[in-house]
Amino acid sequence: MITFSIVHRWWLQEQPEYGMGYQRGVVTLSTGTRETGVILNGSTFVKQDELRSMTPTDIAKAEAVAHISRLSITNVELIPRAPDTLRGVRRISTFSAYNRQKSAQYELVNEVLRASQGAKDSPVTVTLDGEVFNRFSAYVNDIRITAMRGLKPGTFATTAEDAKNVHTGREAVARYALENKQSANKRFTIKPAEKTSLQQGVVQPAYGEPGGGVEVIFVKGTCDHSVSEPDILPE
Amino acid sequence: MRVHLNKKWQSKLANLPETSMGSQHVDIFLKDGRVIRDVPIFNGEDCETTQPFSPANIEDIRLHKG
Repeated sequence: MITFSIVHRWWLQEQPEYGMGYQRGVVTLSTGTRETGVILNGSTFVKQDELRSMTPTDIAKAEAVAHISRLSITNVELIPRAPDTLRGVRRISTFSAYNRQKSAQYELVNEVLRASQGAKDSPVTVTLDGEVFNRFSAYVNDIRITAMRGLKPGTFATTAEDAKNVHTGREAVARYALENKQSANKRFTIKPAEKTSLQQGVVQPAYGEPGGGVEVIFVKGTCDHSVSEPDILPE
Repeated sequence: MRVHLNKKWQSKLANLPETSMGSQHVDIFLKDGRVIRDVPIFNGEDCETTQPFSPANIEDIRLHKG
């Protein structure tokens, strides 16, 4: 199993499913080989023949460690479902403003992210109304948080969606490749105002950690009263 | 070893961007002429270094470039 980059994940979430919860496609790996398989939840690729031999428990375990794979996916082409297999299925077509904005942002960052996936090398985009982020820290009194509970310019965080993968401070150190090996078990929740400037990318392996999470940089910080008191996670 | 920086340098670092979540990489310029390059500082206050120094001996701290 191999995890898709955030660029591919953004693209995949805009594409139709083949069946409930999955898509089918042909990927090109970093080695240049092409593999046909199934894309689970728009985020993880598994080869067709591998999937046949796996139990649900096997799949869950493999998904949890898929981001550690040395291989990466450089391209993906979806296999559309044959129209005759969709007879009787009612097609409902909606496309929200939120998705349109996300697509526009995807187009903007796509080219740069393909070359270098760290947030620092990504273009500046803006948050949408209601987006939530988290920051993991070893410190309750995190120095990046202002007295008025905003974030200072140039502060790193992650999306709330990505933070769901982290249940302990040690997991945060691994997923966000933190240099400080103290448990980052203080989880701050950030609710920035709409149109707050940020850069977004994928955490590259560093400091002996695999990375693989989503990282964002709040270029100009966030507004007052946008950062919660921390939740304390297990070590 | 870790060296805990005083408030003066904490204030300066708090207003400089991070290098990654929770850390900054800096060059530390000492009053005795030494420069300790590319050292990580956590939470703008804890410096991880193999070269011992006194916080009172710091002339300047700048973000490491490169």
